[in-house]
Amino acid sequence: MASKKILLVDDSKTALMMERIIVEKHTNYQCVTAMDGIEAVTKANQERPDLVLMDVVMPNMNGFEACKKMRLQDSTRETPIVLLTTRGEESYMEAGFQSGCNDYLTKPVNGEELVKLLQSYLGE
Amino acid sequence: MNVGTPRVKDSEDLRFSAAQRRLHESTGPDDALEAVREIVTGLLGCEEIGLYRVNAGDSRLFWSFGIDPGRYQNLQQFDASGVKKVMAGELHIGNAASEPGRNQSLRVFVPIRVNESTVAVLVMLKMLPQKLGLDESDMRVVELLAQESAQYLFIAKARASAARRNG
Repeated sequence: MASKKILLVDDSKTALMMERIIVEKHTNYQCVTAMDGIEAVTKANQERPDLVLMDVVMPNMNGFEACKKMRLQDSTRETPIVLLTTRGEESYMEAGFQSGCNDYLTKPVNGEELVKLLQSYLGE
Repeated sequence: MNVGTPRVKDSEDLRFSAAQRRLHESTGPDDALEAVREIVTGLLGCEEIGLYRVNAGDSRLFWSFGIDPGRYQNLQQFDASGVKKVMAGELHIGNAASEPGRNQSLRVFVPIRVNESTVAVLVMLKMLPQKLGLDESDMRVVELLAQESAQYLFIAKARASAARRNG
């Protein structure tokens, strides 16, 4: 059976590396990456990930906008989207849910929390 | 016991591994600065940063993020005993409360070393309010910056300049 695929989206290479290390070390999921919202929308359409894990604050197109665009594409309309927000910004996650995200996590990412959340959507 | 739950050792090595890999894979001095910014903002929790180049006892602001550079031109404006300590190669943790308008946020001075010499000082001017101290995992990342960042920030550039000069 093909392994599940996650699209990681963040403008910080360090954050992407950390998320990738967590996912690759502790799960069997594959990772693909994007560094802003525009690239994320394109990659999501091309790669058809099983889940999108996306930062909110990014250049060119932020996570909320990218989330809305993905909800308009047939290929990603139903894809689980988890947004990442800095601690203290949780209040505006209402806007995140309105944009169509399924869940959110606060940064810096806690590895155990992330793996549990991914497994809750994708299975082990 | 839930055997299906993975054991993810966050505090031990994830942040350190990501920081180390990011720094080691930086593509030049500018990208190394970006790596330092990402590590300090994303992994350590500070969005006001000053990097001071130290030369013959003088210290000048070399690069900054999230601050007014005109306000923080050199290290001499900070607590003298802390500056002395960091110039001697030791980490110094103070607070920002002595400045008007600042609360009790941590202020961290990291000596950037080459061998035993401090060639620069990274000042994390104001840690996020929820950051009450540096834990073991933070300290590993801070020590990485202290020990390894100079070669990516300064030495690679100096080598490239020398190579250009020598034709």
